[in-house]
Amino acid sequence: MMSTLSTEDRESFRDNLRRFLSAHADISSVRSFSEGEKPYDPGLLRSLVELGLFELLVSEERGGLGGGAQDMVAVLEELGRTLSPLPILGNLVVAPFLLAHSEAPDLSATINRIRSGEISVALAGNASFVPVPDANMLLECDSSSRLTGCVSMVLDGVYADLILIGVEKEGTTALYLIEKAHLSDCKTLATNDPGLRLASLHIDQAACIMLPKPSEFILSQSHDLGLLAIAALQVGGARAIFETTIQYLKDRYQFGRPIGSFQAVKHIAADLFVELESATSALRSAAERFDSSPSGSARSIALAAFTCSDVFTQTAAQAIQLHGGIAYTREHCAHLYWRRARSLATMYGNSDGHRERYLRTFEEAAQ
Amino acid sequence: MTITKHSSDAEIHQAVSKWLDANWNRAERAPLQSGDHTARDWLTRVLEAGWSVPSWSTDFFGLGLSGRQSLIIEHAFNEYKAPGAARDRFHLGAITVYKVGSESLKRALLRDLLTGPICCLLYSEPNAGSDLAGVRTRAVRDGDGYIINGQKVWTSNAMEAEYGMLLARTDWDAPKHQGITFFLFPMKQSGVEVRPINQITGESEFNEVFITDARVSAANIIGDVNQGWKAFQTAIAYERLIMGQGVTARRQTGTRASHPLIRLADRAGKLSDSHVRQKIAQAIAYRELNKLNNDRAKAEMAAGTGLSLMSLSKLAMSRIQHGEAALATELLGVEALLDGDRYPDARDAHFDSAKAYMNSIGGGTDQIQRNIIAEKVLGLPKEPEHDKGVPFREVRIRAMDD
Repeated sequence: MMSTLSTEDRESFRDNLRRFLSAHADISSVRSFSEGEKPYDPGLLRSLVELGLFELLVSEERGGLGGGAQDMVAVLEELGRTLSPLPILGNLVVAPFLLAHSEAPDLSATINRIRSGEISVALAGNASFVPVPDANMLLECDSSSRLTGCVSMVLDGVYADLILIGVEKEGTTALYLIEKAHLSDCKTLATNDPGLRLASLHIDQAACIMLPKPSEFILSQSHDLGLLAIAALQVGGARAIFETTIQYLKDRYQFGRPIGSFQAVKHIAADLFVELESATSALRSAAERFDSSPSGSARSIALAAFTCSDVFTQTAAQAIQLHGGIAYTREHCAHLYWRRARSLATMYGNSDGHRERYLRTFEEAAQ
Repeated sequence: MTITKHSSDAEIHQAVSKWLDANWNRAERAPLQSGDHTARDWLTRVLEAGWSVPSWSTDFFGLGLSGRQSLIIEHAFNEYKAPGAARDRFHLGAITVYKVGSESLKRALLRDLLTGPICCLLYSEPNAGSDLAGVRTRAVRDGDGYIINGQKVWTSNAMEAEYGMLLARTDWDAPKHQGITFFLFPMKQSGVEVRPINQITGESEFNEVFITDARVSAANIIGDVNQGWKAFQTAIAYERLIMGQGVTARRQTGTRASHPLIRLADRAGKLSDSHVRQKIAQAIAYRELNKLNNDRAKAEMAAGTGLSLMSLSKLAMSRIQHGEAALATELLGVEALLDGDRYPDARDAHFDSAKAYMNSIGGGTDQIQRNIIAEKVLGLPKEPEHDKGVPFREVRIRAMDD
């Protein structure tokens, strides 16, 4: 997945996005959508489409910007800062990749509706590319391409117009596309992170498009892209709450001096900074590896996955501790980052699993 | 062909290889051609060829190359196992004089420094460790020079060094940072006594240095009189940079295919223990992450940013070294009670466990490094200092001064 963007183009895309987000997606606007009735901000989604966000990873042959994983992580670091509920994995990362590499004959209309933001996509099922897999799903497809059953834990399923379902059975993965309108029921599940909504979908004899089975290589690449996307959101989230915390340590006075002057406090900040920069390095190097050699990037991606996951959970948790009582209130934003960190840490497996995968790459190389 | 910053990588590589072929006997690891008998002769040859400090300007023995171009030369020398390259990365004394010394000091001494052994560092004292600006070694003006009296400690290479970089107090009525002068101090004189320190690793790489009525010329001041603390910042920054790259580690474990900790766990029959596997993976990861940070720091330095990243690696290296040694000890189980050459795994684990303190204390303790990161990089305020603005002679140094 070579990027055709230059480093300058990538950085200017990142800068534009950051400027836009800091003006239009501050944490209070995020809160109104994540805690309110509407699950996301349609205006924000439209504006991001206008900025070209969903064109970024579309190949140049298809009229997109031809970006690669390095470009993806750059923009997702920025989006991760905001906590905005957006169909990132469905519209930007995994679904477009799988559809673009599908051998199905006439998906271009669907792909165009996704990149224009006209529809949003959710990922469901138990396949490896699904961020929150449902191990207990029951789905049957009859001979006339009609699906029946139940799939739960569907990220963004509440508001998605299109659901991409991956069913892994006996070592092969089947892909189905089903329109929201064809579901018989969609229930919102209560979640600890109000910005990430899960749904349980009931399907009864619904019409669907059954896609040709993707190759192992495409499946593993879409899983790795998903992991990189989550890692980028984690680094962005960690950096945002870290900066908020450092500012507070300068502004808050106790005993007649800023609390950030106490070594017991500043040493925690220094240690977190080491972790944050390490995670940033791991993320960017993994994306670079993925762009230059997707099949040779397993070790780098595993390293980025557990490092970025750990850094966000650790930074968000320490942010509450370093703020003290003020961050124990719902009005303060720290708990939103803390909730997001805990949610993202369970997507695509946990960090212990990635650490195990990382170690295995050394053992396999030695054999 | 003359090498300049416009030369291609291939041209640089070709030129340095050709020079080494003509001047260095790879098999015997010795200079070719007769007449070169001393280390200084060889280093002079390297210097005059431009390979010693390639990143420096052409006015001072350099070629004006970038850091990346200079690495081509360093790698070629390493490949030929020839000494004398990369002195612009590792000769702290020469680097400091080049960066902050006066024009006349550079003209007078750089050549001598670059063709001689590395300088020793006369910084710490029994009562000036973490609070290094509290040095009490005395420099008193006498004619065209200064007379030095005092005691220094934790000095590596003090026996071999021809010069030491010396922090000494020249004004006792100024607050502590404002009365220090930084000297390039000649070691080979009467009045300088070097005594090795027996370390917890069993090594003796550090020394105490007792200085009694020794002399140094005023021309050897680095920076200005009483402005030594400022000039010293350059020297200490380079020292920490070198430490963060892990060159003080006994051996480079790196991220090779088969990692020593994996082999050790395998031998101990613990490689299938998931708790052990997690710890090994994390230990390997910390080292790889530090390397990735250093790579990113170099790339960002080339782009003119990234200074903040450079300050992280020494602190990161402490966790790496202590962590790897503790894990190796844990993996050994009761075998860790043994020591000596008959039990090399246990011997190495003990050595590494002790040696790790060199990184976490030397060159500024981890706690001081955290202060520096928090204050200089993150912009957090300093702790109140009791000796701030106080004339140094009134600063107390022990509880009984109360």
